[in-house]
This record gives sequence, structure tokens and C-alpha cells, in this order.
Amino acid sequence: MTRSVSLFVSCFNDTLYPNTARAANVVLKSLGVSVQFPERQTCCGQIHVNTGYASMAVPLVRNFVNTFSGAEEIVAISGSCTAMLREHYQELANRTNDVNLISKTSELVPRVFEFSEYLTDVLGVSDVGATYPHRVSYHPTCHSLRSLHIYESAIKLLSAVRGLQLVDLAYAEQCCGFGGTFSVKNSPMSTAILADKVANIVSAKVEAVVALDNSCLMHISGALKRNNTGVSVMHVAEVLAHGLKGGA
Amino acid sequence: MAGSRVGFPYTSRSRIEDSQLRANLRSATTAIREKRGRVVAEKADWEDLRLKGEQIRREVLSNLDSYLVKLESSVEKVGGVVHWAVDASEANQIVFSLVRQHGESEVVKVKSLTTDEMGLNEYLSQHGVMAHETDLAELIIQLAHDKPSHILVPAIHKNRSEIRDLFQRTISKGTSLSDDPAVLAEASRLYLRQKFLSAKIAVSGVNFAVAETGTICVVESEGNGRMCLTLPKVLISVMGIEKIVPTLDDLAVFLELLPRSSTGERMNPYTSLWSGVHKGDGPEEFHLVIMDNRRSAVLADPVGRQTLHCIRCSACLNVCPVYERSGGHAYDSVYPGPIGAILSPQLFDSESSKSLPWASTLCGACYEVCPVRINIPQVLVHLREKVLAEGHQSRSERFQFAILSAVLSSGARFDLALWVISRLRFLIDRFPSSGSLPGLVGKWTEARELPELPKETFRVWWRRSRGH
Amino acid sequence: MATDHISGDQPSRTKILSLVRSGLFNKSMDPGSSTAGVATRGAPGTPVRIDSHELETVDLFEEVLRDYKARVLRVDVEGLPDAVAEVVSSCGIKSLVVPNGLDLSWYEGVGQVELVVDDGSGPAVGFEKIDGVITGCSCAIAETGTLVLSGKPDEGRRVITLLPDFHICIVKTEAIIRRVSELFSRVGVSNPVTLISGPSATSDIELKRVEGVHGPRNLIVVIVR
Repeated sequence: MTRSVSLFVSCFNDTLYPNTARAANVVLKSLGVSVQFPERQTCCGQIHVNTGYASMAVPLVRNFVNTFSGAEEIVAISGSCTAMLREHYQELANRTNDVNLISKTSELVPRVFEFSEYLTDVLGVSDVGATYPHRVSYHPTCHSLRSLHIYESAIKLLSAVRGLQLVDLAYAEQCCGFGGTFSVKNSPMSTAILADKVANIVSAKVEAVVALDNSCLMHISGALKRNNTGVSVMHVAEVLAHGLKGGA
Repeated sequence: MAGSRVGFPYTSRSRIEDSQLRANLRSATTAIREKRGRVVAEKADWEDLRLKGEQIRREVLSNLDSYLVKLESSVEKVGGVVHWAVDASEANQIVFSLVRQHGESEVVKVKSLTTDEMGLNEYLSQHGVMAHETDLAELIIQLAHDKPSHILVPAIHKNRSEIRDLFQRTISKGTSLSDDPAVLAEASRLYLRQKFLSAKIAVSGVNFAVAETGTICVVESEGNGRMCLTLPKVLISVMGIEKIVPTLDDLAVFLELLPRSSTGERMNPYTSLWSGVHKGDGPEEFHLVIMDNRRSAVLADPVGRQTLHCIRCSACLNVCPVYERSGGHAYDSVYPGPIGAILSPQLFDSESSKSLPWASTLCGACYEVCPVRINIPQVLVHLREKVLAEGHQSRSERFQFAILSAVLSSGARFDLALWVISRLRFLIDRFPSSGSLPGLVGKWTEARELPELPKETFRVWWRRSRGH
Repeated sequence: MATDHISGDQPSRTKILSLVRSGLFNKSMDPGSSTAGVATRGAPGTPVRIDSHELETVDLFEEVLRDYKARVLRVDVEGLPDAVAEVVSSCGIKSLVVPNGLDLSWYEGVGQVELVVDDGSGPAVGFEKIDGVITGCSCAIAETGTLVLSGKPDEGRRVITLLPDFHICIVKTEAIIRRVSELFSRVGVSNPVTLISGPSATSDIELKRVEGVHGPRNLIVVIVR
């Protein structure tokens, strides 16, 4: 029986990183999974919650739940958005006192998986058949590492990619300094943390840094480009789509 | 809060640029972090211990009223006198009146964050009583008229030659010292020994108070604590209402968790336990001051309550990317770092403390090391909302987020917004990739490039291709 | 009881307890408040018997102590007086205090030193002029290299182990427990309890560890089989 997943791409991937969503689509299809894209999806509301406007995220929760409640399984391609769903959705839904929304949320949240986690833990796949003959480092973004605990998933998938040389990143577990609106509210601090991350990336002498969250990668890439390092950034899904039919 | 002269973004700015401070902080936090990592790894049951620690703290807080009454009666049964202070000012008055009753004008002190929180030294000094700090770092801070910058190692921002110069100006006047830390520690030993032997009254904090036995526990390294707790005739210990453990066996759990988390040692050199007054051994009078100072209000907040689990180990400071680059002073509070960012805004009214919940990337490293499993990121996010709701907010920011919420709460409105943006693309493409841009975008581009806008959004591609 | 009345009369006491109680009104929203808080007691102490398990514990104790820069000697009962005498003379100790409950035979070999036998009754003065102290201990914790003093007759009052610069502590192997969780099944708190893990130390200056600040700067542990 074919599995069917609904892709939650996150607002910033939809608008800024469509290639990541396309790559996830390619990888999932190559594994025989049928992929849907419910078009009413918008944003998980993380930016509101994390900035202190949690009540304004409630209508976004409602929209998400209404959009996805018919889905069998939901695959998200952002670690931090997945963490947002797991850690905050139930509490936000509970605020409404809407029994229907509350129960739909509690049924929905356990069906949401982060992309790499879905491949390794649900599908039981570690080798998707990709080829990517380059030196890369994996940056285990904070939410992927400490909220979702999916470090192993990414490493398993990347290690199986043909030709890929996975290079250790010094102090990999340390934050890149993004933190959503933190990056502008405490901009000098954010860029000071980022500078150290970039220095560690440069010392690793890699061609690309890969991660499970484009928001952190956008931040890292902003400095990699500003400093003309020549190192690119890439979502794990894009690496995994390399060499697959329909992939890059 | 932008452009404000109070608050973390302002107070941290100059410190981020201080490369000497950053180098000191980095080597210090890295060293303690690694030590902690090694001794924690030795304990196969570390996660179980953390769970136990959390459970005990939760049990105490959930029944704090009965534990407080129980502690009071246990302490009185063993000959101690219990005093209650609603706030810092009452606690200061209690300590001062005890000192005055004995006609003393000097006290010796064991390092205590709670008395720092009260501003006890300043209060006593205004009333003609000199409080001598006896922990080496606290002594350095006191002599330099400085403020602590770390919970465990308060003088971490000072280097050895600064300390040598300070000692030569103060406690070792007329003596020539080298900047060897052993020589400097010896200088403080000589100076303080006289204080210990002559002091009549000591003031300490409390690491743990055992409700069932009335036993008080103070952990330390140098022996200054033992001196203060043993030699003077009168001992006054000050504790926040939350510092209770139910039983001695519960205390043992924290004696495993605290040193490994705090100094990265299997056990700190000295731990003192006493139960009231022991005839022929130590003080003849023991006073326990139990202070609320808004902790009951923290208790009333179901999410914020876990902040009171804290056992002041400072492990969260050493793993925090923000603390590592700002140091403790930027937090403008007795309690710096991640724990300070959640404790200070709940305990204090200052405008600066209200900026602290945003002084974090929410990376979660603090939660991972916390020996009592305080979910600091969860409390930070909760306090962000709470502080804004209390009125500490910018109207224009609120308006922007309200618009964003309205757009993002419907697929149709999001579609429309994306369509409008695609029509305005020619404007966006004319943005310089760097340089002076307005508002938040400008802050971003100070040090980072903006991402390139793709030709089409994913949803437009999907509609066109149906995913093929 | 009179004391209850004194406490009960404090208006701040009433106020704090009522603030705490109203704060706890929200109890039900605390997700994990159901779990009981009392920790389980660790395994009972090791019996007086030399077996491989105990040897392992003693070895661990010694290793951790050495890590703290304490000097460690292991002797059998017959060798104890000589070992103590050797430590006293090699450390250059000229004056000693011992608690009056300490076994006389343990220190009878110390020779020409000024000896004060403290019965805890006099005023606690003058001990800062004494070079060293010899005590037993109530128990010791292997995992943390900790000596536990609890005011027993062979341990004395706290001041005697605080002011002299050399602390010689005699530990019987049967007194060594494995971990901290077993501590309070061995030691009560009717007397003051002091846990000593290595000589006093500070890392307050540039995090550089300096052994020896206010407490005894030299810790010598004699483990007796």
C-alpha cells in the first residue's frame, strides 16, 4: 500500500527556498510515497510565539489544523517549525476552549514528522540512493538537535550518500545565533555568535554546510556570502535529491 | 525598546566588542564546560538523578506552605530562631537588628546570592556595619567596588594582574606581590584569618534547608564558609522560601547533582551541615531568615514556577552562547545568564530586567545541562508574552505582528499577499544587497547578505506542475 | 508551645504563608506535580568484609582522593602507628591536636611533638597556632573521595579540623561507602556534619586551581585495612 504524506513546507521555504520543498518531494516520491501539498497552508506561527505574541499565533494554529487534519501523515522540512508544532500547538489550541480544535490538535500533532526523521524512523530508510561527491559539514541546528533529537537521522542519511565526504564541524552543537527576531533585536550579539560559527565552517574547508533548517542556513549563508568564503549552504533534502530522478 | 539606553541589547553591545573580555569568558566557560562534561559522563545514572532532582523540587514547590511550616518547627526544635521576611527590605532590617542587638559593627559573610539580591552589604554599610566578604572572588569584587559577573566565579572578568594591583592597594598595602594566583590566594588567607578569628557574627546564605530535621547545608570550596559557620558566636543564615528539601536522602540527590554541574568536580571540597545550635561546637545562637521577595508570585505562575527549581549551579551560564559573549554585567542583575534571564524579570521591576527574556536564541543548551531540568526556553517564551502583556512593548511592533497574523491565518490571504509581492518584485530587486536599509532588514544586512528571491514560490510551482 | 506563639505572632509569616497558598491555587496546572519527591535510599553500606567489591570501592576512593591532591597511605592496623608517626615527622608537624576519643595507640608513635588532647569543653581558641590534627571519620564516600566528620568522639568538634594546616584523617575500610546516596543511612545530623573532599581550594583567579586557602592546606588520608 502506498503511503501518502502531506508536505508542510513552512512559509519561508515556500517563498525563499522552494528548491528544498521540491527536493523533499523528489526524495519522498523516489521512495514510493505519494506527496500532497495542501494549498491552504501558511505558517506555523513560530515567529509570533517566539517574539511574545503567542495569542496572535492561535489563528495560525487553527488554519494549520484545519488544513492538515485530513492528512494521514505530515512531513515538515523545517526542524524548528516541527518543534513549534510539538511544543506549543496543544497549549495554543487549549487557549481557545474550542473542544473541536483541541481534540483535532491532539490527534494531529503526533502525525507530524520532520523530514529526516520520517525517512529513518517511519520509512526505515537510510540510503535513499543519492550521489553528491563533495565535502560537506552537517550543522545540527538547535531545534533538530535538542528539541527533536534527530541528530542520528541526518548523519545516517548523509553517510549513505555516494561520494559525500562528511567533515566534522568544530563546536557543531553550538547555536548559529539566529534565534528568529533575536537576530535583529540583539543584532550585534547574533552576528558575534554567527562569526564564530562561520570561522569554524571555514576551518572545516568544506564546499557546503548542510542542515535540516533553512532559517538557520539563511543566517549562516548571509555571513558566508558577506565574507566571500565561497562555502554554500544546502538543506539535507537537497543533498538527498542529488542523483535521483527529478532531482538536481 | 530599540535605541533604548537600558536593556540587554544596549548593555551587551560594548561588551561584545571587548575582545579581552570575550577571550577571558570564552576560556573560562569552555574550561568549566569541559570539566562538567567529564564528571557528568562518569555517572551512568545522570539522567535519573536529574529526574529525581526535578521531582523533589516540584514536590517541595507544590506543597511549599506545609514544608515551610515544617522547616520552621524543625529549626526551632533544634534551638534555632526563625524569622520571616516578606521582602528584601524586611530581611535587611532583620539582619541589621540582630547585629545591633549584639552591639557589633562588623560581620563576616559567606558568598550568598540571596544577600546580594537583598543588597545586604549596602544596607548594613549605610547603618554603620561593615560586612566582610570572605569568598576570594567576592572579596575581590568588594575591594574593587565592582559587581559579580558569574554566579560561581564572580570575578571571572578580572585577570591576575588586575587582582595583584588591587591587593597591593588594599589588603596587602606595603607588600610586593607577584601575580601568581597561589600568592594572591595566600594574601587573602593572611588578611581574612584575622577577620575570622575576631568576628562575632557571621552571615551566610543557604544552599539547602532540610524540612524534616531543620538541617542547613552550605557548600563551598575555600574553607571560608567553615570559618564563618564555626568560629563566630552568632550565625545568621538567609534563604529564599524555595530552598527547601524534604529529607536528608533528598539532600543527597542534590549533593550529587550540584558539584558536578557547578564546578565540574565530583564533590566540592567542603560541605557543612548543621541543625540549629550544637552545644560546644560552633555558634551559640542561630537565626534563620526566610525571605519571600516575590518568590510566591513566581510560584503562582504555572509556567514560571519551575524557575524556583534552580539550585544556583550556573551550568546554564557556561553553555550559553549569549552569556559567553556578553558576560554577566550585561544582564544588570545579581542573576546573570539564562537562569537570570528568567529569574530577574520575575523577581525585579526594573526596565532592564524586562528585556532579558529576549536575550536568548532559544537554543536550548541551558535546558540540556540543567540538573533540575528547568525548561528555560519554555519559560523565556512564556515571559516574552507576559512582559509584553504587562505593557512593556512597542506599538509599531505589535501592529506589524498583528498584520502578519491576519495575513498568515488564511491560505487565501497568504496567496494574495504573495501575489502582491510578486507584482512589486521589481522594487525589491532594486534593493542594494548591503548598506543602509531601513528597519529590521537594515539590522540584518549590517553583517549578513539577504537571501536571493527565487523566481517563483513553491506553491506557484506546485500549481503549475502538480508536483511533477 | 511558646515558640509556636512567637512565630505565629509574626505578621510577615502569616503574609508569606498566605501568598504561598494563594500561589499554589494554580497547582492543578503543573503537569508533573503528581510524582512524590522523596528519593529512594541507596544500597546499605558495605559489610565489614574484604571482598573484591570492597577492594574496588577502596581503590576508587584512593584514586579520587589522589585526583584532589590529597596524600593517601594504605596500611594494616599493625602498621598504623608507624605510618602516622612517619606522616607527622615528614610533614614537619611540631604541634598536634587530637580529639579525646581518638584511639591512643594510633598516635602513640608521634614522638616529640606538642600534643593537645581536646575534649571539646574549653573555649575554641588557640587552635590556629597548632600545626596539625589527627581524626577518624564517620564514613567516607568512594565515588567522590569524601571524608565525613560528624562530631563523634574520635572526630572532635569542627574547629580542630579547620584551623591547623595539616589534617591527617584515618579511614577504616569498612567505613567506605560507594556513593553519596548511602550517606545518610550511615550518618545522622544530631551533631554538625562536615564533608571534606580534598584540601581547601579556590579557582577564583582565572579559573586556575590553587590548593589550600582557609581550611587545612594539606590533607593526608590513611586507609586502614
